[in-house]
Amino acid sequence: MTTLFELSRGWYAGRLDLDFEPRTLAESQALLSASGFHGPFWQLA
Amino acid sequence: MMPMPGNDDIDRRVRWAVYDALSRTGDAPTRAVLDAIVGNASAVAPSLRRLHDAHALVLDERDEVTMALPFATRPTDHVVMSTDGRRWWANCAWDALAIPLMLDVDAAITSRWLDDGAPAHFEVSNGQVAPSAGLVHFTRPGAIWWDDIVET
Repeated sequence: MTTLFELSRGWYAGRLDLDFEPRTLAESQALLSASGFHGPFWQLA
Repeated sequence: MMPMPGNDDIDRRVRWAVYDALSRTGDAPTRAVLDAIVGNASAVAPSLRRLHDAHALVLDERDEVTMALPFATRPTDHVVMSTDGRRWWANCAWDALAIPLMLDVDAAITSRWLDDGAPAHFEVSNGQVAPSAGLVHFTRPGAIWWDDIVET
């Protein structure tokens, strides 16, 4: 749970901003990897 | 004469208005509020559809906003209550954890354990979640999250 909580910091960053730009798939994948979510289950594409 | 705003500008303002209302009040903005922000009522529905298609928010079968991740716009089992008395609904346990972080508020989260349905309680304070032995279970692999984001 703590791991997922920490992932949320980056995952939802900036979403309240008027000029929020969605992440690319690669950027999302990098966030998952940086938080320790590796392997086929966590592959976004 | 002011130039007509393009779709990108309309979508930017509609998306922000949805998140702004949800973050402040816990509820989605009414269509009248969105109409006023855009200044062109006929432009709102197409904008919401474009935002849905871009995964920026999720519409239900009536084309109303049902999700703007991590917020849910209708009651769910995942409830976030801030210490100043505001309430948000989340779509899942992950989203419930994310809302206090995103809004920078201290909050109590009420959710439900998947194995026995019993209530689950978590506290977020000063940007940290209180330690818990619980696990968050993902049933669907990441590659198909957006095939059915409501089910995910």
